Amino acid sequence: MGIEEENQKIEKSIRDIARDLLKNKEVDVIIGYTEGTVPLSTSPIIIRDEKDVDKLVWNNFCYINLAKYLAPRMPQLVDPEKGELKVGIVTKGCVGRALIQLAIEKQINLDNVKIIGIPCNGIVNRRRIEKEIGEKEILEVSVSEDNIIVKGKNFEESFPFSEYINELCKQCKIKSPPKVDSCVGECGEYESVFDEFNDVKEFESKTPDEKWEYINDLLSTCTRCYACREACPMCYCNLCFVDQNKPIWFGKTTDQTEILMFHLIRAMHMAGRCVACGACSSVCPVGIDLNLITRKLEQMVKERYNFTSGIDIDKFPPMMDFEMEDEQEFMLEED
Amino acid sequence: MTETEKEIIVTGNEKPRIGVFVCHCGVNIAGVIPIEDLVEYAKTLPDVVFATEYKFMCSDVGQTLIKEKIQEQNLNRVIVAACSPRMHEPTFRLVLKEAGLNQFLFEMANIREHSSWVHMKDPEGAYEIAKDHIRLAVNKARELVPLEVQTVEVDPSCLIIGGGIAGMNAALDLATEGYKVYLVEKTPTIGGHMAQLDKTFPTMDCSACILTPRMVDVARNENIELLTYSEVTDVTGYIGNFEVTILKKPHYVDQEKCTGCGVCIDHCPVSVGNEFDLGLATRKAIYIPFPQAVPGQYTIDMDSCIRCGICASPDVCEPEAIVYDDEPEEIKVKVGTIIVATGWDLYDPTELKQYGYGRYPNVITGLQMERLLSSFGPLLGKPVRPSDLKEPHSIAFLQCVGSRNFREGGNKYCSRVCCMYATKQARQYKEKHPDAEIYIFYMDIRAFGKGYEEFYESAGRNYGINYVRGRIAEVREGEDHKIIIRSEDTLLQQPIELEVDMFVLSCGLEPRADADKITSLLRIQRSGDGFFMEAHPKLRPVDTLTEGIFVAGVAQGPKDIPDAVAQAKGAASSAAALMAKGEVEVEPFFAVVSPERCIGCGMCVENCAYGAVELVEDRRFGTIASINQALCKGCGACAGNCRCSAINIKGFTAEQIFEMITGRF
Repeated sequence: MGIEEENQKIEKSIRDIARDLLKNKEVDVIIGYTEGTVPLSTSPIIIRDEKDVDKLVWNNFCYINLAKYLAPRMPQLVDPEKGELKVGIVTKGCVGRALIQLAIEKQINLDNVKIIGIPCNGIVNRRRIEKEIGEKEILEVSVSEDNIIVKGKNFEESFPFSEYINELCKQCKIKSPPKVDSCVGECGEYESVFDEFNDVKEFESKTPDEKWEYINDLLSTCTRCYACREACPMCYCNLCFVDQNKPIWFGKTTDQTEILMFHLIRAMHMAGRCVACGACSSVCPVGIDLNLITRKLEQMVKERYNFTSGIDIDKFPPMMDFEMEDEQEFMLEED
Repeated sequence: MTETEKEIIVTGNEKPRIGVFVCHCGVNIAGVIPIEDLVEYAKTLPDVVFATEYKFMCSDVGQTLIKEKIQEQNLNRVIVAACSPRMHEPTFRLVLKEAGLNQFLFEMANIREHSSWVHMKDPEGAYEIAKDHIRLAVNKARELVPLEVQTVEVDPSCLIIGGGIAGMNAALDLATEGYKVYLVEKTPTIGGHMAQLDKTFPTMDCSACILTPRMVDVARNENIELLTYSEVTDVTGYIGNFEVTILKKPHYVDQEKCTGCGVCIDHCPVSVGNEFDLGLATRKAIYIPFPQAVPGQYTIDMDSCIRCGICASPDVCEPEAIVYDDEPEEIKVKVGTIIVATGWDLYDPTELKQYGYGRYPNVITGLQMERLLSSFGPLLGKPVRPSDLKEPHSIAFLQCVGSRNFREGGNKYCSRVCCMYATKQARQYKEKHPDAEIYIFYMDIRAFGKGYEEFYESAGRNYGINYVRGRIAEVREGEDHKIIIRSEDTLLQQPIELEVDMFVLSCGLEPRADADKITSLLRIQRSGDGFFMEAHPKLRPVDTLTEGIFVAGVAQGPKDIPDAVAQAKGAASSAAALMAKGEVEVEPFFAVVSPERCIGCGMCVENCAYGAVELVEDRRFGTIASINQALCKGCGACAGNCRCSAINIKGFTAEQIFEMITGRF
């Protein structure tokens, strides 16, 4: 089946399920994706009426992690009288992981969430395509057979789909959301996920000095707009550490040290929690590939604790858990 | 010193007026660091209005100096640059209190342990570090705010876990003082390991003769609730207010109806190895551990019982006391203090294959020897070889089995009792068989207690016991199950080979196999050797790091009976001190939650080793974390782990630490 055909099939199933859920009053609203206002992108949409379900779409530009709108709940999803509305949410694998992780962290109640599971077929690396097109303005993008067709004034270029999706999507082993009680649509069972972490192998092979240089170079263009934080479903603090002023942990400038501080502290906060959705990289206006950092963290957590975030609702992430028997050889040297 | 009338009100908003007091500590600090220069440096720091030095700040004169200067200079923050705060912070806090200043407006700069001691060969470097310490202290002091001491009530009752000699003594002391004691013992009888011993070194008094009256005292004491055949399954709460759940295991014999006639034992068809005699004798499936057991209750061991029903028949049990469907019972008690006296397990020498334990019948452990020697043991005090039940002519003892082993996985510590018990057993055997040949193979003989050296001296001189310095390489079995020992006599520097009738392994003491369970139940720590850890090895030897919980006996580390009893009495006294006062001050260094920052993720709940955090519903902020101040130890695990920086530790707030690191240089 070609990518285009797959997308149509997924889109149809989203619309069918959404229509049923609204018709049977199983949910009050549906959160999904709709056509974007610019090429290479989609917008989130909230649907309350079954006649609007045809606005829901699925394509390979649905990079937003919709779990973001549940923690904390957008005002549109809370009724002053009824409280939390019942939500149906279009859920690809990483959105499903985010929902489970948020439930573990007590930020959402899955009883109020219907997971409309879909088998994601990969998200296009929009920043890479933009980079390759360069200065020219992109007016229309479509996926046909196994190619991404980018059209603009006086040009048309084609990129092989399998090559131009996010690195994360190439490594992804969790295409459909992990199964929980409130799943409708396609969900998967994942007990232990085997991941080779091929995408961090190159970084791994570097010396500490080279790594330091690489990370410095990678982040040097950051403008600290915090788009990554705003898109991240796991960034839901009332007051982010960068915004605190008592004490001011570090300055607000784009001095290289302070950029590094922001990203490294954020990385620590993500350890064992990142669900590898890639939203941070997709929204970065200067095209920084933050996935390298989060994937490296994911790898360390996997190797040390054999833990993959967001697949088991009963398992606390290692950084949140404490057992007397926890290994501590990395902090205490045995005599 | 008298308390002054004048109280200095500090809100935390006024301009800090800091006084720095630099201590010479004799030559400990002054011998390395130029104190005068340090004082001058301190005066240059922001908000420092006064600085001075004295030879010993902790002395009466030094303390008076601080007090005078607080009033004279209107100080509202005090820094003492001296030693570790561990010892003297309380001393100086009291000085502040007496001067009318909140005791938490105090900061200590450790320029001894962190500077003059460790860098005594580099005085210039030490001086620089001392300056840093004072500057950091000043930076923090500027952010200090007054804190209030909290008090919690202490329930006048104590839970004692373990009914051995230590637990019993602690129980009796506390009960005599009028406190309610719950003595929980997991076996059907109290008495512990001491009940298994024959005589006790060095005075040779009979263990049972001195122990059993105490056991009876425990059972009779109206303040002691004896809970044998019971286990503690849950402990919640905090100092002064522990909620304890105890599971009473079923005896399958109605203790009210049972008259203790013992007819059931005669009729029970099932014989199994008797734990009390370490398998050297048998007992029935329905049994009483030993004749003097307290309480003298019969118990059916359901693991070996075949449910034949003979004991339940009215011909056998006239009062019809047998209850096959007996159920475990759970009881809950509230106590103010807890004493852990769970004792020890004997090292199992099976894994030391070279000594043949478990393979050769005539290789036994020291505790088995004790049972053989015991006048109420399986052989009524006439030891024989297990292989042919003949009295051995020659016996060899090997010391340090499972102790002082520095190989991977071995117990590195000295078990402290084996030298003496082997000497005692050798002497006992020699008393009855003067012709016997006894050899004790040792590494060093440790006879350190009162009367122990004399006891050991006499064993060689008057009893003719042969002490051979050397570890045994291997043993094998010779003709007639004799044991052939190969060793080196390291004093004569020559190899020896010896044939003996019986070989006794002087096994050491080990932490209880289920010590982990107690650790997690009570949230106390264990030291590297696996025994429970005391709060301070010298000055707080019976306290644990969890307030209100004390440790006594071998549970804390190997010790003999006098030491175990002494520690038990110490633990009882410490527990009584808390209960006598009726309330206890809790240091205000606990965690506090900023509700507006907290997102209620519950990470802190999972991370808290003391169970001090829970999630609560707040009217304004929704689900947020809440800290139980009496349980919180101020360790900071929650604060360090909180992504939202919603938790601070009083006295160590983010601002204070941040100022220390980055404050004005």
